Amino acid sequence: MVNSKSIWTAIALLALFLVGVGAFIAKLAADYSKLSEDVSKSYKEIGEIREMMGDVSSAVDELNTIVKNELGRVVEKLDELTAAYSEHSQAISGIRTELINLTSELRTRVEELRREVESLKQESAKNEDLELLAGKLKEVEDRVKRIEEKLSKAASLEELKAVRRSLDEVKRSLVEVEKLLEFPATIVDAARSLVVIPSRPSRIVSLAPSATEILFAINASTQLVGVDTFSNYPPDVEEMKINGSLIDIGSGWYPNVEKIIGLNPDLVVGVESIVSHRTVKEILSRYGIPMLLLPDRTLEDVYKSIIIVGRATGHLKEALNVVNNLRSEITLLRSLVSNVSTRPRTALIVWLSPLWVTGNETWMHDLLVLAQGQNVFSNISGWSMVGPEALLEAQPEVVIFTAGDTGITNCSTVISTFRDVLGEAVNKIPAVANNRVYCVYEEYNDILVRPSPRVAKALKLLIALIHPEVLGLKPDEIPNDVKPETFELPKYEDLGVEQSIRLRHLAVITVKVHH
Amino acid sequence: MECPSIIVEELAAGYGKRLVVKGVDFRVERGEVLAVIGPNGSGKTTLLRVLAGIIPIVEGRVCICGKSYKAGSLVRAHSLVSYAPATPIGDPWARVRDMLLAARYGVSRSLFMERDEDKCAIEEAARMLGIEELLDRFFGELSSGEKKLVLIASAIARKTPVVLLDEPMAFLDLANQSKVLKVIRNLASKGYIVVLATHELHLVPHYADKVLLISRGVQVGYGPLDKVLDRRLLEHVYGTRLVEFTREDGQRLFVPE
Amino acid sequence: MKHRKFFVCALSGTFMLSVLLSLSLGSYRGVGAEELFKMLLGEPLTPVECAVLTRRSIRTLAAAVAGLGLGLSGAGLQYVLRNPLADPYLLGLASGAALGVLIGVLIGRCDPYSLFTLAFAGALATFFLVFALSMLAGMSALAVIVTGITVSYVVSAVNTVLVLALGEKVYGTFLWLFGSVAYALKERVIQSILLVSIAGCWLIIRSRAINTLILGEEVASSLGVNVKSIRTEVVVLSALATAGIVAFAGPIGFLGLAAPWVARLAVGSDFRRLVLMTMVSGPLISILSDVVARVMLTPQEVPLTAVTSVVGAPVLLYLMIRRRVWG
Repeated sequence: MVNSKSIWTAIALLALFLVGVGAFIAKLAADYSKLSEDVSKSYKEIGEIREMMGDVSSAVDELNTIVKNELGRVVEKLDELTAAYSEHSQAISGIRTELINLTSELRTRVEELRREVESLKQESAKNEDLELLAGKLKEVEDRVKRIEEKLSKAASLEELKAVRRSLDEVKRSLVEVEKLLEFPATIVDAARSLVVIPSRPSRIVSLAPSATEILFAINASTQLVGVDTFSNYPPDVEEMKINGSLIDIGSGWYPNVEKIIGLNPDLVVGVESIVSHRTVKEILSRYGIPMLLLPDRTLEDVYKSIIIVGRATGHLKEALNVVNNLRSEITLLRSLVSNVSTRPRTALIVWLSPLWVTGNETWMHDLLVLAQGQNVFSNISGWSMVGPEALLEAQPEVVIFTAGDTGITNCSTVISTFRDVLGEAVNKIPAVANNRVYCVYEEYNDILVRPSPRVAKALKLLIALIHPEVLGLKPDEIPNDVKPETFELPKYEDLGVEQSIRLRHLAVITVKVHH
Repeated sequence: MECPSIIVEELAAGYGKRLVVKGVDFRVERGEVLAVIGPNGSGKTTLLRVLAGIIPIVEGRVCICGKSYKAGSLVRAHSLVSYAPATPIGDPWARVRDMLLAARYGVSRSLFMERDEDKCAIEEAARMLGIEELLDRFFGELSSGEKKLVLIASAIARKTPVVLLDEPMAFLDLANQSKVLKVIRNLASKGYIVVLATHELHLVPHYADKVLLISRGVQVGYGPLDKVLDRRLLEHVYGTRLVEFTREDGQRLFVPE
Repeated sequence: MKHRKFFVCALSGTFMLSVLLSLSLGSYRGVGAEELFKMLLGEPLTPVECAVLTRRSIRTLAAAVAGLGLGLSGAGLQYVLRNPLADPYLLGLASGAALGVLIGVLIGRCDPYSLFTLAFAGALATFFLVFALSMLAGMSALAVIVTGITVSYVVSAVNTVLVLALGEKVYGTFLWLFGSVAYALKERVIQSILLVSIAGCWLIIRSRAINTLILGEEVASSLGVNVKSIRTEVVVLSALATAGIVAFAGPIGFLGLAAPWVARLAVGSDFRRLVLMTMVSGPLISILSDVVARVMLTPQEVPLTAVTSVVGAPVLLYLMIRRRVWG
């Protein structure tokens, strides 16, 4: 029969094709195994480096001591002595001897350190960073040597001052050396997994708007190559997306793995709360791409995220600064509301129908508490759906609805939605009766719903809505539709708060960096 | 394959604990046609289902082609017995040819796909029943009578020595009834054993060698035609008055009054 | 006959094209047909090209395995359950797997390994409930269908409550809940290949017996086919294969229904040919759907069910129209 023949022909064709596919897969598998061999080799190297990290970290400690104590002592002594010089000119030879002693001590220490690094270099596999480190140390050593020489010849105050300048240069070189020792960085992220970043990342992909904001805040934006669709702050992001310097890798909920791999990143930053990011992390690990999952539940997690990202991108100092400023701004804002007499019952709504509200264990809850508001849904964990009656039962005095991307443009819609389901009982809600239902849009929406470095601004907004009087506003001055065009947050200068107060509240930060 | 006889002794069968037929005894020899008659629900189909190996024997013994099956067992003579059920059921999207080929399961010598001999067998069966034109049609688009013919053809295409037909004349027009009649006689003349259940009493004399009359599962008559086809017995069993005709060749025919 | 031959060749040809298409299309434009042929000719690739191509191959393989498994399961079930609209999810597997994933989110085990295991376990647990209940009900085709649908409804109700209770935490699993191979992991796919090939081989071995069911259960059992045991075999094996697929790709809808029907339109109702053809049509539909899913709104990922339904719906409509003609 014709048909059965045609089927066998088809099967034969298919078999032929499958053989072809098999050959293709074999070829690809060979390539892939080479790739994964490279990946595992670099992992092995990283492993070796991690083994020596103990030694290197002691080297870092030593360098720190040198920078802080030894060099500091030298500089201090020098300053002290040069001051004394004008009075006791005969003491110059004494100063010189003392300085020579100190610098030679410094030189021996640096020399020792260099030898240590040199020997590490021989023991382990080829590592560019270690080589660079050794080179830098050699440079420092030479400089110190030159200073010694200069000192031995120095006879005048001017010459001694020149020596001091040289010592400052040495200090700067040592800071550079210290920076080199930051990588490979090993970080424990929010998924409690160890992330190894072999060298300072130069192609970073961010999978969440909050991560993008953090990267920009700590000056790592030049290292960024890809962001998710929702990232839109700072405004440069939108511009860079259009001109192609930042690539869109799809929605943050479901990032496009192929797009990420195609960008050839050396660091990917996601968040812990999005389930799909875990899978993406697992897939990317097959290609040797490290991925960080940032904690994003509470306010404390925001600080932690900033420091983790700072450590991972080589911007730890900037990150610490950002966190310091954040903490001090928040402390300042707290001091503003510390004397309020009431804690208004507040509902934070993130979606209208169905009604989604904010419970505890969220940064939004933490901010609300700091703003001296009382979250009526604090018995709920995370964000959750509730029935409209729950709102009636909760009796909020203030209702804040983040209307950013819900399509609602007028706050009266919110009240009419409540009225549709609750009838005239809606007037029994104090917030409705007293006209304290606020919808926040645009930038004000984003700062509230993102665990980003802008949480301090979000706190200011919440205080403005809940306790307007402490910011010098009258309750009826605040529009129901809160957006940058209709409502401007008061500046600190206008509040008569000195900038200096802010700096007094510097908080102590513990950095959890694992070597 | 040759099959000398079917012997059924004290057979009882049914569904679950309910016995539908009991105490059935008969014997059909090679080349004979046995017609099983009786009112609706009397157990004709159940009897055929036991012989086809669909439901197990509850009591008694069945001996098909020299193999004996005891109480509690299924008549596992599937390669010797073919069965066409009364109602024409089948996959409406299947082509008739595919259905006939599917019926060669268990008798075909190849394991996976059919060989030429299978194709010959189905074409021969189709020719016997005059359904060659239907072979490439879908089962679902056929009329009930055509469907019935397809199922009979699928039983015949198996070329087993025993053929069980449940109400082969149902759904058929007069021409097709006569075609099926001829097929049955043809099979018997080739040495097949044919057991069929039927309600068309007037057609029984045309093909049957023996008649088995059952009522409410119990055998009330068995033997040659003239012995069982008695008006008073039939009137008693069917519970209705019958009119008796005598054909030119002496055969008696019965129709409802 | 010519019509059928044309269909077979067209489907096989499209299948080959779809594999090439799937390897050369994606949201990363740096790897296209040109790079693919370069690689086939043995020219070295850059690591990034190699990585992207590897990822695409895994994705293609995942889609092919999903299409193969769901298609075969669907084909087997349509025959043994004597219902042309049977689909592997009839056995409660989709809702069971979803339950497993939601439980994973509930107890905070969201890493891909736990989610895979939980989805697989959930699918199998639900299936065994369906299976035990239909055994009690006599394992008839109707018993399997009715208990499957009933248990699915019960589990779906639990799922709905869980989705509401878990709130925003569920968001990240939605792509999975609507079926997608975007995040398929190589190991999981290979594990599923094992289950799918067991089911596939068994269906081929038993295809002649399953084929007798086109004559109806009565005739099939008179031919010596143990209908009940063959139904049990097919139900259990397709449940295993489907559970493996659901665990890595989520419940991809319509594939299990559409693939056997596309095959049936091509080669007719003979199960032996059908099962071979489904091995082409299933992967074909799922690979093409996946290509559309990744290209449609690039760089956004679209759930596969949304795309397969677009393919599946016309098939179902065709069925309805034919059914009306034949009563």
